[in-house]
Amino acid sequence: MIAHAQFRRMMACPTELSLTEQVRLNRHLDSCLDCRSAAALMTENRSQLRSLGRLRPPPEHREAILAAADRSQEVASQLLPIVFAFLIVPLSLVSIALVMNYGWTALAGIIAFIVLFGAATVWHASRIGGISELPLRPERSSAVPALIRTLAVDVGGMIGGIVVLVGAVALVSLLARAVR
Amino acid sequence: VDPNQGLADGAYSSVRPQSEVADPASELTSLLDHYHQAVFNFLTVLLGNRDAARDCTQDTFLRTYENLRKGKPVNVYWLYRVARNRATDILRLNRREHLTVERLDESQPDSAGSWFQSDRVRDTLLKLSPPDREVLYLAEVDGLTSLEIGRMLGIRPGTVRMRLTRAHVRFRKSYAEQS
Repeated sequence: MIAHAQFRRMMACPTELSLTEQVRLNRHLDSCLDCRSAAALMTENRSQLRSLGRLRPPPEHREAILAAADRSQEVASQLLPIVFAFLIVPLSLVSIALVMNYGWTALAGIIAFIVLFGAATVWHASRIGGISELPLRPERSSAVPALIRTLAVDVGGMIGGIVVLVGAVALVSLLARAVR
Repeated sequence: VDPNQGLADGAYSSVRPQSEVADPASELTSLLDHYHQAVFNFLTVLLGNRDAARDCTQDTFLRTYENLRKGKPVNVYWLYRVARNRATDILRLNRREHLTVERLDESQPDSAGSWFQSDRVRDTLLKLSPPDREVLYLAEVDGLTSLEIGRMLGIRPGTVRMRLTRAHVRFRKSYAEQS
């Protein structure tokens, strides 16, 4: 015996019912006054909700979105060289100092580190802000604004990078001493 | 493109193969053609505030563009899920800061013409909780199935049907209270 609640769930989505379910529901409705009035209520709700007019977004909104999309691309392409420009100076100084102190082994270590760090950054960037699996994985919603989340990830990445850099330098210097 | 066509009938109802995906800019334009109005209306109902809905719609499409630029295809469910999550963030933020969500300003001219003719239905809808509102809107206004809504919200179709049943009862009760 199917409970009334289950019949009401069936009434909520009448177009999704199989033929057997439809027959079973109709039979129940013939004999149950409560469910019949619930069905009438849903039908009335449905017709009222479908009569709701659609708001038209402001005409300039579409253009604003397209312009913002263009700007976001420009900002991304402008930011990258600036970030690299700022990174390249300290990295070059560190490289020169290490090469002068520890020779070519240190340089090889630095190059390996930069390649690994770059690959990790590219991998991380491809994951941030995107959902690779469609459409079953629900996106997590968070109260923390996206900007703060991104900054937190970046700062965390920077601290991690510094730790790895210091570790790599220490390792290279140890190896260089061992070779000597 | 008919903005009132069923959401699931459009070109973006399923994930298209990567080979069929055009360049991100034209893909964004096409998505705007198909779903700009639908997403805007969904967010207006969810947030009860046209300005917030406008910002949220823009945010949703920019995020979509970001995704397209990374070579990841999107579909309508993904789009709605992003829109809904952005709206949830805004609603949560408003609640935490003890701000009330502004109701639709009836003095604003309505280009569609008919929205404000159904004042009572709209007010009733806005009085429901956001989960009731979204499930009722998606099922009865946008005409999505419980499976499709489940995909969007990350819940099972059975749960969607249960929520929808409750939302119908609450809608009727609230509607009756207004009269």
